[in-house]
Amino acid sequence: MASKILKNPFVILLSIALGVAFGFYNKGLAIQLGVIGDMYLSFFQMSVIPILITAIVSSLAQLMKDKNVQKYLIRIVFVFLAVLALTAAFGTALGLVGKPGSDLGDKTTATLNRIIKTSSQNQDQEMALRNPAGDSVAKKTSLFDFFLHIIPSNIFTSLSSGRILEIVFFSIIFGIAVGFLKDSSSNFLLDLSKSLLEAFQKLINWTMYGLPFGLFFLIGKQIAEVGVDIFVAMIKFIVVFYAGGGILFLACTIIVWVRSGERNPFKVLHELIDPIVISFATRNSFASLPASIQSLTALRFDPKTTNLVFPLGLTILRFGNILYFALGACFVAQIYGAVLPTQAILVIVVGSLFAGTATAGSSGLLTLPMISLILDPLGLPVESILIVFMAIDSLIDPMRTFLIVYANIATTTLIADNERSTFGAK
Amino acid sequence: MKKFASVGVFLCVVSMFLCSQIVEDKDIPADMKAILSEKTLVVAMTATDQPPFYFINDEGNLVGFDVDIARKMAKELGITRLVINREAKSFNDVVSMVASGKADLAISKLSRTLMRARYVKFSTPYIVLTQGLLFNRLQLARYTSEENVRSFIRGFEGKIGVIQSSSYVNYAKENFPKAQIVEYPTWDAVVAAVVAGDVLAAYRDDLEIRKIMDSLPNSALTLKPMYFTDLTDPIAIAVKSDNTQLLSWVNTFLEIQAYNLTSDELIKKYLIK
Repeated sequence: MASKILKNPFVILLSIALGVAFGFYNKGLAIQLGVIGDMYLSFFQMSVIPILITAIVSSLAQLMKDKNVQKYLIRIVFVFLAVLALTAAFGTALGLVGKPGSDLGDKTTATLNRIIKTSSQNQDQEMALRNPAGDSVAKKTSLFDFFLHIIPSNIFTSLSSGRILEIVFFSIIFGIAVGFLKDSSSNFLLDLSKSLLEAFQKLINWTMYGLPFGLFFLIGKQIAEVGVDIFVAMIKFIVVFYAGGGILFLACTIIVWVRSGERNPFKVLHELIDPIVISFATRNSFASLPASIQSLTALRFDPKTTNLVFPLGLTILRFGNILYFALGACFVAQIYGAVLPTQAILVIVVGSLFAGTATAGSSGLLTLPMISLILDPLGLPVESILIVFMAIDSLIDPMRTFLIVYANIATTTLIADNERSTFGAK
Repeated sequence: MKKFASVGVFLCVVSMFLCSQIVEDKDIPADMKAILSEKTLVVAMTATDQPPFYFINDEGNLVGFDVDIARKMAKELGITRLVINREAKSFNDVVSMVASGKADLAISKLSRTLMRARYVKFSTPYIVLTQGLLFNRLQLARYTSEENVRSFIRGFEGKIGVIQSSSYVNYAKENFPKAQIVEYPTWDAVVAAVVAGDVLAAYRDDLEIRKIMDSLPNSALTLKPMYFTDLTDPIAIAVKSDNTQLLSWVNTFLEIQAYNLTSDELIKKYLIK
């Protein structure tokens, strides 16, 4: 009985509301008790990497033994590329139509200016002209580095430091290798993976009972840490971003609803409440991996495909980041009054796609400098605006993470078959 | 014993004699004597205000760091009439005025340069500013990415704006030989050119750049300062080359006053209410 209450969506929403109120009315205590939320989050993340590996390895190995492997792989590649391109184009269009950086007004500009000036990040203003030795080394964000670091030199190092991209790469290669083994040799590994996956999922299931409490503290801390005036200054950008997120949310819900063959769309949403809430509250896309896979299974999508496609998508299809970068690039161009010819718009579409994808394996503030992959070719300054983006990220990150998770659920349903005949024919 | 006593008495007499000599007017070196007898000290400052060094404040009074120094000097010399001459159009004009004897001193935010030192004598610096460039961020982003800003600055190619006939014309030639130097009549014109993107950077001391960063409402978004830790701009007082006694007096004065302000402190003291 108690278990049913704790997993009820309304209880979860209530705990979020209480968390917001808590963070709003007692900042100090909310920040202190945020430790409890962090502990809960750690407990949650603890089994994410094992689940990631076992899910990819077992499902890929099974897929390799399937006669239709080629059909599946082509479908995956095609759908992945299509949704990536669509998201990048949508984000750019959103930025061009929504104009988040135009006509900000003097007051807003002055607030942004003050925030940049008082930021501790804004200290890069001194150099010795004649002595290059003393230069502070600026971190270069490049696509090349990204590809360079996909292949792990030691998989155990990658595992212990949680480098998701390397782990996924290894899992794919390993899964393919297992798929090529004779059945007699691979069965043990597959069974082992399967048992491991189930055991970890059991663990996550238990963890879910703590979700209302964990959310309360996590949200309380997040709200308490929010500074008000920067959000007022950036309200236009935030609103446009959330509007874009809302549109994507609707589109994805319709996709999942149609693909699931379920009559009632609210039943679909009810099944998806866990990944939605977890991604929003934890701002960690991988923390919602187990819950998402369970939701997809509950909606009767083929687990073999889901177990492969969803973790893979979660790693490389960074919808939230792509949307954010495209919008952010438009925002910067508008703030500096730069004219965007067709060529520049194309740079934003392609650049946001690459920059977003390059954030694979990292999250939060660490992903933001990737925007230079778009702004550098456009000849737009990154440094000062990055400080503004960092300042508002506590409000942007939940939506970004949510979009990564939710759009990946939708993408997975486009690839995976449903037990019910698709398109609701049943 | 008596012999010793007489030597003592002799020494006393000699020393008394010497002491009295110091206060005798006829032994004051000529240059100092001229100033003291006229009871007038003429200090040159440029016509353009240079806050926080010298500027007309809201009440219409001439105030600032240089003005304070000039007043304090007059007081220490016991001079009742301090004339601040602001005929000079440029900093080089101020130097000419001192060299030709039109003014006793130039206390005018004057950079100590080798070219000027040919004509006048410089005191020890009373404040050492740092040189800096003020970039148009948008232009800079077109030239280089952020990681390479420092190496780009070392080989600076592009337009650099300076005030005409200021020490920064020479500094620019020396430190950024590949840059195209564009001279503007005033600092305001230089800043306007940077904001408009007509030049890539403005070159001046850190104090002036900090003032712009403080005053323009969108400075942090559109401009980027870079201060050079190894390029200083010593500000000193110029004295006519014959007036060696006056120079030595000025140096002693500065040593005793021991002004030790940074650019930020100076801005705080005179410009922020």
